[in-house]
Amino acid sequence: MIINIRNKFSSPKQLITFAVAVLVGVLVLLPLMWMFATSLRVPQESLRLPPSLIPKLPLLWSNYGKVFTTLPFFKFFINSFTVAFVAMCIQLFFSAMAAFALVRIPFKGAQMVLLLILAGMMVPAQVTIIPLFIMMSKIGLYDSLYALILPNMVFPLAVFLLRQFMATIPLSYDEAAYMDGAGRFTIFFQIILPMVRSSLAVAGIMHFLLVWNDFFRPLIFITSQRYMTLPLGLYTLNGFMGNGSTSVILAGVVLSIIPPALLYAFGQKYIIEGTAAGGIKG
Amino acid sequence: MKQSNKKDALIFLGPTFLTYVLFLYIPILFCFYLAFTKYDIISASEFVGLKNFTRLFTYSRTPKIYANTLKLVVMLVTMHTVFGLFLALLVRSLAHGTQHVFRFLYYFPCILTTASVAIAWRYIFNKDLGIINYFLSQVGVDAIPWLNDPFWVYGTIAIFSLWKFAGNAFLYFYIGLGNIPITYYEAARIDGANPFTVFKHITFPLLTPTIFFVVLNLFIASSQIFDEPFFLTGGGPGDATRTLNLYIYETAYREFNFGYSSAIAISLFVLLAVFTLIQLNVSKKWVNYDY
Repeated sequence: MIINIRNKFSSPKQLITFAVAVLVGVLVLLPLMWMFATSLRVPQESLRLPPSLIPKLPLLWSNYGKVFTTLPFFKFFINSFTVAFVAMCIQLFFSAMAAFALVRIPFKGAQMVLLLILAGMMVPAQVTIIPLFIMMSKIGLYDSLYALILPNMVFPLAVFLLRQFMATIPLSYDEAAYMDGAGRFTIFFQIILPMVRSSLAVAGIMHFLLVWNDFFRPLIFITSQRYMTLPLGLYTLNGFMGNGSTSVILAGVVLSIIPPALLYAFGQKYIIEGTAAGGIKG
Repeated sequence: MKQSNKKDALIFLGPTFLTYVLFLYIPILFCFYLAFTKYDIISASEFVGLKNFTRLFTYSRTPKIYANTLKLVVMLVTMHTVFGLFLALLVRSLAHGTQHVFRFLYYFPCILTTASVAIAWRYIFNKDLGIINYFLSQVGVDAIPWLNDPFWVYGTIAIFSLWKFAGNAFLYFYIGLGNIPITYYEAARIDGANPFTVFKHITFPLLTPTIFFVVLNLFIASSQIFDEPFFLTGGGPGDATRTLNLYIYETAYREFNFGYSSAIAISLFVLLAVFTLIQLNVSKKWVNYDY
């Protein structure tokens, strides 16, 4: 055993760095382990000490069933998904069109337009939320999924990412297609869009996560339970229910973080790329 | 062709232009307008001049709220930068195969829903039933009032914020370190430089653009901090952790004082813009872009 470790770590210094890295990893995982282990406990004893970090028998998977029967979890889930998915699709389509105009159609003021779009990244949410709240109330969209979808169509990072990638495609593609009689829309849909698939994935995943995880806008725009998204719904219900149902709430918490966790597991490459690209803008 | 260029650009930019005007530009202008009015959404708005701003600068509660925000900004920017850089250096010094595992793990909390995990963390910080105090009691430390002591609540916010978001600074530093040409390190190794010299003369200077970017981003994010006090402390005890953004939220949606609330939002916006410009200017003195 000792020989094995010696082989793997050439020096004691490397062993120490590895040990520290593992320790930090454990600290990252501990709260999540507690969350999961507690979500499988008898609800009345959710918080009884000693706490569990590793699920103890009997495993109460029924808590997960209760998430669907005693909480309107499914409704929250559908709302979250609808808002994030619809906002993402529309936003990606619009942003791709804008990026296309910015780098593949020569026109005066392109630089100015880009600056105006990117300036959106600097505006605190608090500045626009009050006017948006008033606007939504006045046009009757307050307390509906529209109030969440519409303002979320503004996502400057997507325009930035797509523009950057489209700029690397040689203009000769457009010219050749133009010679063959293709119009702007044909060039956009059949040549450029297929070539920027990976940037669309990066911008799409980043945006989906952002909207899925958003708590602030639903908090302001939604009051009826039937329109609540997952974060707001769980938060509100947690306030209503006593400590006697903590494990059911935690089961809901665990379920609610599965979609972003899955996106991360399978789209890690895109998320890292999106984060890194966000770094260039500075 | 020229004619159609202009027309096509308009067509392709149209949808984005429309959504940005409706949901970004008009709201910004509207916010500036509201800041000079008294408005509660039910009765008509009334122009009050600078009254909202004078109230903001004379009200006895506001200095504390600005001070809280500043305190959190200084604390969080420092901690995230130092800890993020530490983690990045740590992971970069591991064997190549294991780096990806730790990068995956350390960034993981960043993609999780803040509201969801904050629900769990409130139980974790619970004074009598939480696991932190349970583990501390095992080593003989008395229960710490994490959620309702004006001193400890800052520790609570720091712990949660680091657990949830340190992965961001880590990832930027991890990528930044990877962009430093390896030849510099090889040259230093041949010259027999020790690790501290290498950090001082190679890693740090070449990492300054990333450090600057991380600090600026952290500054922008933490000056707008809302989630941590909202979920963990509710701004309390008293006003101990009430931040500007929380105060904006409360004046708007609990007191329906939209004019005053907009004035505070504008003050945050202006402060943010001024500090960002200052940082951009100061950065020219210490950030090294040529390598």
